Amino acid sequence: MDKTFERLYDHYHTNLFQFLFYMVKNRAIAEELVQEVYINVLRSYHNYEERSNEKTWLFAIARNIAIDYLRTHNRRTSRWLSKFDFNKQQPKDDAPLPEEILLQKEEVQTIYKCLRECTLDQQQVLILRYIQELSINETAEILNWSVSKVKTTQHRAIKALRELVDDPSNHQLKGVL
Amino acid sequence: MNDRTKSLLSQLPVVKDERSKQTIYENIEKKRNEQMLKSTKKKTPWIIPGIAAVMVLLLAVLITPGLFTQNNDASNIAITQSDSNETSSTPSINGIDSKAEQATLAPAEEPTTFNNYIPAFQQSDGKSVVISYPDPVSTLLVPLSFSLDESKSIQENIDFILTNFPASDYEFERTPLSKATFEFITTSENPTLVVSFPEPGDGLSSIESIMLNDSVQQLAKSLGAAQINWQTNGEEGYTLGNFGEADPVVNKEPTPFYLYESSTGRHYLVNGPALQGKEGAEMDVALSLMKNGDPNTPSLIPSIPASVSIYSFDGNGSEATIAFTEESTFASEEEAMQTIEAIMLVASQYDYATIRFENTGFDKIGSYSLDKPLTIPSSPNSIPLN
Repeated sequence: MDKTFERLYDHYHTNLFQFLFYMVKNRAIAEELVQEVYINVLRSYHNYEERSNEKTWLFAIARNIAIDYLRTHNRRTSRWLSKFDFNKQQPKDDAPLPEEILLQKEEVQTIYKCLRECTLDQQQVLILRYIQELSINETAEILNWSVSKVKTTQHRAIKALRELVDDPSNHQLKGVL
Repeated sequence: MNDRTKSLLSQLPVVKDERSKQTIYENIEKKRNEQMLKSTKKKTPWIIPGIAAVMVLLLAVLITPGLFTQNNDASNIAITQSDSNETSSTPSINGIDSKAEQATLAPAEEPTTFNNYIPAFQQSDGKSVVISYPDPVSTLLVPLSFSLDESKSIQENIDFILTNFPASDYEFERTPLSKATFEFITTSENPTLVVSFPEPGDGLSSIESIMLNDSVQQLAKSLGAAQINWQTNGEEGYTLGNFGEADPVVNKEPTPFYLYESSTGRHYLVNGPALQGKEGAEMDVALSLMKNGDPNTPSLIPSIPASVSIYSFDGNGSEATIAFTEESTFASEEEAMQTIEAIMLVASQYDYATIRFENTGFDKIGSYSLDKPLTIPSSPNSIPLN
């Protein structure tokens, strides 16, 4: 077994998988995507510069792979509806809740459902900050954003999520095509 | 209430991958092998048509001089001019500078065309304007260069392009610019692009906001604008979804140029993410990304192929010399064209005006004669319109 893979797996696999799961909300897809992450990482590991943080580098790759997937997936389902026509509402995601979530109390299930309704930017910040428990600086590095943008998006995301929890019919426009 | 929301978020369960490390590793190895096989298979179908094309060209080279031996020089020029007039009325994807061809090529020589690559817009062709189109397959924005008619307003130019460029033939979506009106004010100290939208952009998604902002930024840069005046219904200001108020500053941060292959098989040069701060200060960083690719943008192909390495890069005033290693080889003239134009377009962002290339293995690439410094093109992906 490749030593780089083994080391990265031991250090980061649980977190990477969890991050991808909450991004795509599907275990089977997260399993596929995490493999894609390793393929990309092993392909470009020789270019990795140690001056940057390995963890944030890995998460940045995972985040890009998840976004690529979401864009493609959303395009497949809504391409003929949206066609880059601005401001059109995306179709509602009625996928069943994963087993892990169904075992939780109702409030947690609600927060999971509402998380799906936030914009993609908001979801990323919420997952990285409150599920992965990363710092603002780490989140900014992964998203390639400024710290102030992370703070602003985080503030808006919490507000949006709270409003959705209070009134789940208040769906927002999702942030991907 | 905010604390309650945060607390609930942190209560979301830990979700674990139930597969073993070994299983995952085996899956990865299998996929890597499949990808390697695919990339090998992709290349082989071109070999036979490639050889056939070379044979046809060889025959053409042998036969063509015989056809023209009875003509004098003046009639040769007349024939070439007539041909170029005819071809210029037909939209083509090669975008080769016909004026430059007449000036630098032997009169009877055919202009170089490429199977897939769309060459850059040359300064000798006048001024260009960049209109970006989204490719729905990749959700990437592809900047296309069109000739700018300076006797007309920018709005008239854009209207003409939007009417005459068949975006669907290229499998592109409508440009995000189609919803706005434009005016370019050059009388003030800072040339300003005024962009006005009929409706507010509060509801734009992140990707829509990014595409719109990038399209306007590309347009502003191509016109030489120093600032952008965003307006909504004639009122100052425009909101780009969650990003908030649109930035009036024209982003001058350098970007690497990568190769993008669309679903139609055409090759375009597209901008990668901007290089900020120290990273963007040196052109070496951009070249390194163009050589090695950026793991953050996997859909973009390195514009400097793996078989080519840069031996040295020397900047002297407005001229730079780039030498490739002796071992460097380009698979084709088309690949060499893509690479040197990508390098030149990056160099233009570092204020270089001419580039001398060494060890390319070619005396001539497209319309570029490599025995002298090359003038940097204006902008990528030139699309000629009637």
